[in-house]
Amino acid sequence: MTFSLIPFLPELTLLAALVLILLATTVSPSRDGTVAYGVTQLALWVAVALLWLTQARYIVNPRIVEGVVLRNSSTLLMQSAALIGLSLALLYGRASLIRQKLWQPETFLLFLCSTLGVVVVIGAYHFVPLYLGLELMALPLYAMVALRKDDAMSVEAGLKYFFLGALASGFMLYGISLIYGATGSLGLAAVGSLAMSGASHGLLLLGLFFLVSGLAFKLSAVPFHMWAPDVYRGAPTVVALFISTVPKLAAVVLLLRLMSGPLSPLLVYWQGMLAFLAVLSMIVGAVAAIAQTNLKRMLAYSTIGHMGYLLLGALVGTQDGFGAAVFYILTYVLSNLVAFGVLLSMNETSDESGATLSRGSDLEDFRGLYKRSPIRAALMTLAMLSLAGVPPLLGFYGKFAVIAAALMNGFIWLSVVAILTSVIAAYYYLRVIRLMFFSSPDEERASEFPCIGVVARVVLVLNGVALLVLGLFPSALLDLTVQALAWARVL
Amino acid sequence: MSFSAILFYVFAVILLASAVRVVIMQHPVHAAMALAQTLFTMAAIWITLGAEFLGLALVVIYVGAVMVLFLFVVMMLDARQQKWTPRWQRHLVPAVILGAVMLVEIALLIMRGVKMKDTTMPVASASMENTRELGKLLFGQYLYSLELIAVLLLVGMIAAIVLTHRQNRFAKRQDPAEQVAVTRESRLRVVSMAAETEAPEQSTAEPSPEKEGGQ
Amino acid sequence: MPGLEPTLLHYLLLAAALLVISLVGIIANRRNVLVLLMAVELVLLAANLNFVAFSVYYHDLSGQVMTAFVLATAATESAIGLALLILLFRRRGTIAVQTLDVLKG
Repeated sequence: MTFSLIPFLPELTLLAALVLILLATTVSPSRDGTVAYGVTQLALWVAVALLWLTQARYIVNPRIVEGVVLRNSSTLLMQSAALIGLSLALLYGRASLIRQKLWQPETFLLFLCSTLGVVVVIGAYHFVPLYLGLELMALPLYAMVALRKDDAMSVEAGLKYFFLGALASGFMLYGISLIYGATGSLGLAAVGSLAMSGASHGLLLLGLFFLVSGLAFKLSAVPFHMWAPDVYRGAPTVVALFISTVPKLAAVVLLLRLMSGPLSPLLVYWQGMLAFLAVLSMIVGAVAAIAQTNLKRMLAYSTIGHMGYLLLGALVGTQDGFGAAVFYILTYVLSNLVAFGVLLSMNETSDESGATLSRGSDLEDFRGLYKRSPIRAALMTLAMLSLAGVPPLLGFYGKFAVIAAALMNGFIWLSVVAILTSVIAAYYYLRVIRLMFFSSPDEERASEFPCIGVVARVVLVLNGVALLVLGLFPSALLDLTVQALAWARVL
Repeated sequence: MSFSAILFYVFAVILLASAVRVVIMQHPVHAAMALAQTLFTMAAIWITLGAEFLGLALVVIYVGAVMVLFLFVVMMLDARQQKWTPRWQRHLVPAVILGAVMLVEIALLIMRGVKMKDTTMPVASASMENTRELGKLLFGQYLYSLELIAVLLLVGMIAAIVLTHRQNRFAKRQDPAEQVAVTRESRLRVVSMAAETEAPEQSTAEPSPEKEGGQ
Repeated sequence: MPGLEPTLLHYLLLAAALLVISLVGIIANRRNVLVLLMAVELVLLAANLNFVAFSVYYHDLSGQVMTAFVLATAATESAIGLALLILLFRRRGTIAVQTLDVLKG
């Protein structure tokens, strides 16, 4: 049985980079990661280019390859987003990784593998590669969180994340087994048609319950969110940035794909479960962040809240709801990249024993940032306003799209909760801005800024400016998203 | 009751009993042994079902490799250091009650959910087709997934080595990059203090340098 | 209620029982992290039993293919989990669950 390798070029490119880096480490004994970094970035952009060159034809003609893999406009969009996301994360995190002595080839191997998993999940149309992609995405993350082996906090965060993540994967697998049992097939297409014909509704539902539980963990939705603050705090900041952006893309695509296609007959039950998750996430994300003094933990709760809004868009169940959800995750990723990018350019140090001082990521370190580095303060302001959903930043349109979709489809109470929690959450985003502009720098904590490369600076500024520009012209990104979904038909 | 039915119940009882022992046993080696027993019994059940390749794979891979790995790690962790006292009765009773409720709920849902008319299991055939058919599938339709699992195994190896590999801890070495990267601030901190004046004590000043010089 | 001859339901209930035993073990465990890892293995085992049982019932080998992949995945997961456990032990000198308190959650 032969099939063309062309649809798999993105995965193959990442795989080639993996192999190249491994081979390079056997040739040169140095533990320096510069070659690996170069190979990774090159591979990522080559993969994006190949993606667009070879798969543009699937925009109008979606194709399911060999019954296991899907290629259409939405996979094109989301896979590109994932690859570009990693590229930017590594660019912003370069100085931080060097400082923390994590500038080694292995670090890039782990990032590449996790992104490969994300790409696989986005493109999977069968439960087998889907599950494998999810594990491929998650396993390197467990190791990456504990990468600072000398730091007790990192190791503990890694172990907690591993245990909860493995348990969630187990639950998801149990759910998949029940769905398989209810329909007799593991391919999403077949599951769709069989579910439609009313096969073993109860079993399907139980399976769905377990599946959603596992998925909610990946999305850090309440009540499966416990890992997020600890992991964001304990992991190297680049890893926290990665976890908060790229794997979420895969989880969102998975959720929407299941909802809109194979398991759409169960939409009513989806909506019940997702509404529960969404409301709790929005509330916890708004309230719990207020008490945080560490920016990374605050961003973790911010993520939890944002996932609540995302679930709101998803549970609407119609095309505009799904479009709003995808648009929302993209705006969230862009905003988070800027926020973490600024954080990465602050001086987060370790002491000699390897333990991480929170210096550099505490809110106190942002005191008077305006006087010390106006550009950083400006970028952080853009990011905070965008995350808070203040117009005319991009984040506002994300929230607007989601709430509009919810209102138009009759979910009044949920929309009210969304708006209220958004207002409450704005407090802690604005607090950061207040600290930066209206406080004087703390002399003891103010340390010199690390050396950031020119490219990283330029790209970070462009990223921040994009939040404003895309916000002024929101239809650019929004239309792209809606159009991608419309062509996709199967999502 | 047919022989296969008796087999099923025997295996089921052993399976559940050893699973309970996994979570109850205090000493981790005992728990690991109980897990191995659980896996063996599960393999036996699968073989009676006709999935003989998986049964054998379970024994070879899971018991033969993974459980041995568990036991290695348990031995590395120096069990002597910890007293395996049962300090957990407080949480046991509510947990068991919760578990019983969950089991009843799931069981009811499953029994109601299975709408198939005929739930009897097909008799396992005595032919050796299972492995060949699985192989045909694995290298045919599921080739993509096969490659993915290969990458997964690779990344598992990389991750485990990255986490646990230690350079020779006892070798003393210098890192010129670190030496050069030292800044004045990390080595010296100049503190301003109020000036201290010495009280003039000329009478005892001279004998002391002589004393120290004589040592 | 299921009859005497083992039907599909028997296998499903067996798997559900395994799942619940594992969960009870996780909730009630206050001793060491190793048992937590083993409990996760039990959850995966329960799912695998489901897959094999349905696969035999439907005469469809894809369930068994999934199980084969899950076996490999579980092995990899164990390796990484145990590596993290070793790291924890090197740091803290113990694997008691109570010591996981550096992060305030």
